[in-house]
Amino acid sequence: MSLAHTHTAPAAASRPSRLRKAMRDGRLTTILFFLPPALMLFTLFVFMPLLEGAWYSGFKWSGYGEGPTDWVGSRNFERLTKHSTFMRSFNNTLVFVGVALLLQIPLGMAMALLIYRKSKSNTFFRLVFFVPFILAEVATGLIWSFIFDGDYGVTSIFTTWFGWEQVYPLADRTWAMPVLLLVFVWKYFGFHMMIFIAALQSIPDDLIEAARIDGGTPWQITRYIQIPMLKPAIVVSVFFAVVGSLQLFDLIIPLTRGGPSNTTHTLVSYLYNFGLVRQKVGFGSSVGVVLFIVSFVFAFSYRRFVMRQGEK
Amino acid sequence: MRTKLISLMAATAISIPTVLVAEEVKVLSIVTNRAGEVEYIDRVEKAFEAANPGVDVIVEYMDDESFKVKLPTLLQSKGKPDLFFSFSGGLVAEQASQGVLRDITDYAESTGCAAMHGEGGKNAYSVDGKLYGLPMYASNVALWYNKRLAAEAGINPEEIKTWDDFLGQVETAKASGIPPVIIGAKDKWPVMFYHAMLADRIMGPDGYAKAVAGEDGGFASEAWVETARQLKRLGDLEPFQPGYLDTTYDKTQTLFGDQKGIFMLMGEWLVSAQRATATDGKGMTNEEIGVVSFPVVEGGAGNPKATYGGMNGWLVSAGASDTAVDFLCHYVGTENQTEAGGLGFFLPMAIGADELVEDSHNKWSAARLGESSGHTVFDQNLNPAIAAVQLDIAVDLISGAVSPEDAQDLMEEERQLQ
Repeated sequence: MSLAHTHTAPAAASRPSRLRKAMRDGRLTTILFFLPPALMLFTLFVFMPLLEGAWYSGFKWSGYGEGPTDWVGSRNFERLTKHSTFMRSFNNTLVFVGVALLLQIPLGMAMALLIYRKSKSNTFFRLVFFVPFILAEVATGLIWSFIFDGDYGVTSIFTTWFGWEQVYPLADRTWAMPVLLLVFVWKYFGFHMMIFIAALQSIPDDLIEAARIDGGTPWQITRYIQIPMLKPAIVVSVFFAVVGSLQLFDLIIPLTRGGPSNTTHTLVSYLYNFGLVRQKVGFGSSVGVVLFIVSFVFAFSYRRFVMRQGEK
Repeated sequence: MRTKLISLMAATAISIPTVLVAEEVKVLSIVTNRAGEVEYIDRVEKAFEAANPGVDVIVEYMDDESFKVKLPTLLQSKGKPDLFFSFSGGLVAEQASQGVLRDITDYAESTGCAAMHGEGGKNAYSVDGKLYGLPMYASNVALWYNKRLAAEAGINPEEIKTWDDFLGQVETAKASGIPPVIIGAKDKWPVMFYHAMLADRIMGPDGYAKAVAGEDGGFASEAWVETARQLKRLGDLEPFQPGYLDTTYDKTQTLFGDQKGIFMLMGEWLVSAQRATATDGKGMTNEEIGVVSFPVVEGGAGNPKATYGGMNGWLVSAGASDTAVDFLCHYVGTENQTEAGGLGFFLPMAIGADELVEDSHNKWSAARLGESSGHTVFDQNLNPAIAAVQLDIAVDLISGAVSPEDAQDLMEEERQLQ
């Protein structure tokens, strides 16, 4: 008891002085000016919709009217677990995450290692590889759906030229998903490449030079110096890759619309198709809740266990 | 002097907005692909504005899918449209029950607007005897075919009377090496046409109503499973153009216009649409295209004269002004509808508006609608969730991804959840 008293007294005494200091150096003014708008926007556009989504997930509601009234409890979630298309969509989303981690990031890193040095040709290649990332997702989807159009697209020109049979990979249940993965890798590897290029350029030249003088081969320099020093960039890249894969939607709709036979849906395209399009706002919200939980658990754990370790 | 000047400025400031701010009538439409229709709508809009000074009609266009998804939110926002496009069907009742529509029964009667439309059309926009909108056009889905390719394949589609006749001709055409059927399975609804029309031919007009009410096993009844079986029979013949699962409806118009296949089950709009989208910019002439009604299924309870297609029009949103209803009456009134019919955009619904319809295929469709024993409206007769399952299973049936029994179980499962 006395200990607690002894400890709290100086803390209480220091509070007014900290407040005075904050008032003097302008921090308090900054907080009072900038925090409320940010908090308001966050509450309005993030926190409130999240709560609303969670609330709606317990209802059967078409989206019309003042609000939901037909409470169904956990029925929407029970349906999700029994719906084979949802399970497939969940699985597809995990495949996208896996491909992002195992193909997209390594490819981005490999390209970065090849072209990180400053030269005119490297600048040109950097631009070429980064352009897909700048392209709007919907435009990308439309471009690739034209490429894979076996009747009027680029594929058709090639098959006609070589006298081969026309191919329609997006119409094939086996090939539609690999095509999506190909476009997905092509679209986003440039983003990771740029992160790695920035990180590689920050590695001191004398470190590489010293390794070279010590007889290190290019592979040894990459393996034992550059890649270990890229760790902070890898940590950030992995975070963006996973979160981006979980939210993947815009590529799916123009390319396959989740077909053929709902085999290429991701969690978000499933939510859109089976929630919004079918006017089942409650059911769609339950998908949103699942997606939020998955994203939150990942983001929280990653920040707690991986990013914090990196900071140490 | 200074006080007077300030008073004058204040009075001017107050009066300016009343002069400049016009009464707005906001109209939300789906995108139209018919060449010249947007210009026609502009003319209709300007004529109304000229006759009603101070009124500003604003028409916004949205593609079908975005329209369907955004409408529920839009109708509850301050920026809601006064008038919005509607495919009619079951959704009108849902919208009316949620209070997002204006009851225009009395107003449309008093202005003589309602009298310009027949009961059939008005019924599509009425719920419990209350009128919430007005129809604009109907469409009729039929089997269109390429006469030249049919002759080359050695078939005569004019002889098609039954579903078996059709399947027989499909088989013959397939053997000749010409793709017998063009279909846009990526959009799903063109495939659903087959499922819906087979259901009508097998069960008659009560098939949907009984299933929705859950009678005889609902959508899993033997008659519905038989419907699915018949559709699967078509799919088993593998009669579709290569890559049909990744083919959109828009692309099928081009394929039909480019003469890449023989049959296409579609509304009468296909005839003008294939001309607009064919690679050579011309497509086929009316004379090069033949048309037959959807065949009957032997032993089925359906009436061969029953038609299937759209009954599209406009709904008035809650709180819309009388001016908005006046514009609707002007837009879908006999005079403008007659012009639209004459321009070949669609089959107008206003009484007496079909006198200028000249297109031979539009006339054929109008005649079929005229002698129809009953007109089923697309998937919109169903709750959107059940309709979406119907779209899914139709594609899965023709591609062999699901058995007829499982397909109908899925539809019934969705019905039970409603």
